[in-house]
Amino acid sequence: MLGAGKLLPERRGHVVTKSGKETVLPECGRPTVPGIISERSCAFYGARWMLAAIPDVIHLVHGPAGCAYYGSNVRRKSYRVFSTQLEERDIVFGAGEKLYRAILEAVACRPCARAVLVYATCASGLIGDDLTAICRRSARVTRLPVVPVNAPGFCGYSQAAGQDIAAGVLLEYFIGTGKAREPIPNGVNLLGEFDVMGDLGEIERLLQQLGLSIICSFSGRATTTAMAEAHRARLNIIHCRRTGQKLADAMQERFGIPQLKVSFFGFEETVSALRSIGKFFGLAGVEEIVERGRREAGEAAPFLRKLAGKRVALFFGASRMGSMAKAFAELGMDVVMIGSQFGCQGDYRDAGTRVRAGTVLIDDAPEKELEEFIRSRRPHLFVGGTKEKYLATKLGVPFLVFPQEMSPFAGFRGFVNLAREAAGLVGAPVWRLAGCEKEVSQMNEKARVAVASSDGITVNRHFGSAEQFLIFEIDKSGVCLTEIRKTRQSGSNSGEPDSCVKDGIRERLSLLPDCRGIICLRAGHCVRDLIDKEKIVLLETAGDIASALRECYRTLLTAEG
Amino acid sequence: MRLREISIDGIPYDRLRVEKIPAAPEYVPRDPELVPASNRSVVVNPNRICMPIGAMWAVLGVHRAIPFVQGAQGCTTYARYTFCRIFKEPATIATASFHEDAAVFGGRQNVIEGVRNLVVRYWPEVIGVVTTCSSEIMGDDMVSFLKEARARLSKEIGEEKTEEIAIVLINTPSFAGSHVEGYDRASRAFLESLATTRDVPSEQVNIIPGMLYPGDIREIKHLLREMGVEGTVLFDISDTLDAPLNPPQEIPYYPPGGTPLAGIRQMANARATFALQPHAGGSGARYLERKYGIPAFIGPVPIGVAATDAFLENLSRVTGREIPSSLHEERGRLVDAMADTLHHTMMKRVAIFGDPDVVTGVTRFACELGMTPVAVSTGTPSKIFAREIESILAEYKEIFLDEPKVFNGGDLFEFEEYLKTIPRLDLILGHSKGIDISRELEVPLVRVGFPIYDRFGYQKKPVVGYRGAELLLYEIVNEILDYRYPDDRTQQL
Repeated sequence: MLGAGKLLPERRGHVVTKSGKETVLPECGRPTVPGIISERSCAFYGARWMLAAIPDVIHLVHGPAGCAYYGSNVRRKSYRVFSTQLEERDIVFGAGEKLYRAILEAVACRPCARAVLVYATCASGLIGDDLTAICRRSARVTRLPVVPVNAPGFCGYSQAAGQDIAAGVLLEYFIGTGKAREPIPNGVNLLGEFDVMGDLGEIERLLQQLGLSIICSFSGRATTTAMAEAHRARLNIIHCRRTGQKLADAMQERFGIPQLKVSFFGFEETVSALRSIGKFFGLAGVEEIVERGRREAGEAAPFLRKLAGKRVALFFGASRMGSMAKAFAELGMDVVMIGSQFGCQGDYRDAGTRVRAGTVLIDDAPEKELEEFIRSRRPHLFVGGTKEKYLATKLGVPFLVFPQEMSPFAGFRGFVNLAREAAGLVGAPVWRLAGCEKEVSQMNEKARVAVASSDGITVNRHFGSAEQFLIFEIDKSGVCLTEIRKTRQSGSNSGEPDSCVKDGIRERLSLLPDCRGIICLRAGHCVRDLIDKEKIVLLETAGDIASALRECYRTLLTAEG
Repeated sequence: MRLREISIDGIPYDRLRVEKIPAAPEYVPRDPELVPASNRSVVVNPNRICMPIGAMWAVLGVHRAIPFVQGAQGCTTYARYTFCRIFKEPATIATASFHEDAAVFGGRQNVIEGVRNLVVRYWPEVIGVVTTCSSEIMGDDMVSFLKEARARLSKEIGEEKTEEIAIVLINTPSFAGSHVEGYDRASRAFLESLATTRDVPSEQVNIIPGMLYPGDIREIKHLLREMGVEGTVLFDISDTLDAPLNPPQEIPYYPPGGTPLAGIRQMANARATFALQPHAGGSGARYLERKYGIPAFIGPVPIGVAATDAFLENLSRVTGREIPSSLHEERGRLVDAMADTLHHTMMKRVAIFGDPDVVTGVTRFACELGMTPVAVSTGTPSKIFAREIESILAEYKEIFLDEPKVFNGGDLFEFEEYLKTIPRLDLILGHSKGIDISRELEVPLVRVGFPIYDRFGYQKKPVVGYRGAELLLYEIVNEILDYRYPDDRTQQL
């Protein structure tokens, strides 16, 4: 894996491998090292990410054309963007007056807007326009709230700074401005839910089944009127901690709204989310919804078979790490890497507890480190953003873009979507056609592979309870059964896992010192902890031995390459 | 979205138009005073990007070159997103990652450390240092910073290895121009700092294609091959931004192709320079002409019959090679296709928008097809653009019933509002940002120009040359047929 020697000294603490039970956390929340190909973005981007979806306000970017252009495409959608399009003379003489005129004109162009958001950029920050004063002045004329969003690109270390500033803006100018004070009995807010490809609809469907209604979702469905009523919620449900926690804390302090951190990604997470929300409101009938959900999620079964034991690497913005790691584990996949652009200690701690030992935790990974990871560990699937996608693809690794591109991943139905899309990508014909296995055929040496099977036809034994291992030699010319190695207790073994699990596993492993691959029905965590993952391919599968061997061979080849 | 009513010849088009439902119940018609961009300070939906991305595009067209952006992380990340979405390729661009301290103290430390970190991780052959608005406003003295960076490098990796790495500084203050100008400055910066000696004049020609897609550059190379002319394409993204999926790859991943460093050095020896886009690459060609007397042929971009003819004739005159029969045949096929489809293209009213050079090229081709441009718009204001459009309109005067509207440096809001006021529009030609206009007006959009990120394949399909024009023509005709005719009327085309 990533040898520490290969990393820049500043980066060494940012890449750690979970060992044993305790989690070592990577360093995080640091400035980006100059000269790397960073996956992070700027504060302006973070502010746009938080606010762009507010539909009934004017978004005015006080900066050069580029910032406005880029800022109009956020979250796969296109938003109308107003800008001052700063030019040379504005930089020299100041652009305050231009901004003032622009605000008035923007309101004239779109008179039905309920507010104006004025975004600062690096350029406007450096020439020192007094955004706040200009906004105040124009607010008097337009009689609309004109709100400065002071998040120039260089502030903070990543988009996180901009998200915090944007949250501050929402709290100061929009949330809870409505007159009515009494709580809405079944009203909840969703914080940190951006409605990517219909996630919000899926979550809302579940909440409706509980009899709850969403007042405002920050900021997947956040009109100014909805935000004004947000203080009347009985509960704030935090979906993404990075973008939601700050809002939740402030709303708890100001309006006394309790908060609940949940995740709707993955089956178990959705179940526990529904249960804890149900418990909060003292609702009956949660279990029926869960049962219905279980039936819905059951549609994922055919996909899960394809995903069992496949290695997956996850790279997110920040706090989705933990919940998504769990969701992928539920798909039966083996999470081998988990990382984020700007996660905090809490995010990594959360993620670290949900993955097994040997998983790499990586903070603010630049492109090169991701590349090295892909090459050395060859995950079967990489999950991350668009920027990372095409490099992984070029290296022959299937890539799932998250936030997702096609269908919602939240809730029970979303879980099925996630399984379907992952299964579609893993092992698709294109990877074979691309010759991603060509590298393997260069493996001339014979490799020994052990198969846990009692009948010699199908893989049908857990590693820890296997009474014998069939040893095959494989190379590019074919497969050959060379011997059968029996475990000591064979005969008396009833097929149940040994009572003394660890010893049994050590004993079995000692039978197979020369094997480069192990194929079994299931292997517990102790097996994974004990084997040298660099050298040995562990494949969990059910089905016939021949196809299992074929797959093992393919994995060996890619590992070799 | 299809037209809900089919326009039938003989019935005035405007009577068939569907009354639009306002987007919001409180919808208020625009104040006509505010529609023209020149009357406003506020820009609504800009029809251009800023300079650095053009320069980054250029650097990505050089073999084993990495752009280094002297600015905040967003300046890099947004551009990487844009490239990824357009080309569906990885885009390796390094950031100086300006944080608050850089904004206060300047970017000296960032560039010195950054160049060093980039080199030890990637070993590029060329680093294109691209400045941004922040570094330019702060007044970073990049020339001396880069000297320091080199000194630091040679201390660490030795003088010899440092010498092998070319560092090209491209000053691109975002506020001073659009992306095409960023590319333009890059062309000049590269030639100024690398093409420094004219020793053995060669038979080669230089081609600076401008912001054309990989498919276009392949087509240009095809034309050169057919002519039997050797040429250096400066900023050859045809392989770097359209690389095959062909594992195993070397470490770190560099895309294949790109203009080699040695090739750029040789450009001072060339026989002539063809800058296909006056706004993107023109100053590079002019520089070589001034410095070494290498004749510069600047524009027009070879879109359509006449412009491709002009390009090939110039090429033939400079190199003394005849235009081969194979290209005559290609031309013949294009003209034949134009004759075959004339009935569907003639007198169609089209609106064209995008970068200045592509818009002039497409406008000329549209006129050649017998279409009537009713509005042309570019986001980059330019005198050359105004002049070129004027000459095209003068040449095809007879096909216009009324003068088309020219927006020289407007935004898309102005363009859209204008299109809403005209009685009939059949087609919009422009980039992906036009999709909202197309949906709103219920007029088909044929994608051409930069950027196209919402469809696949346009980056590989040429629009230049005779074959490119033919492909563009089919795209136009099929889009018209799709929109205007029910299926039962196209059974006997």
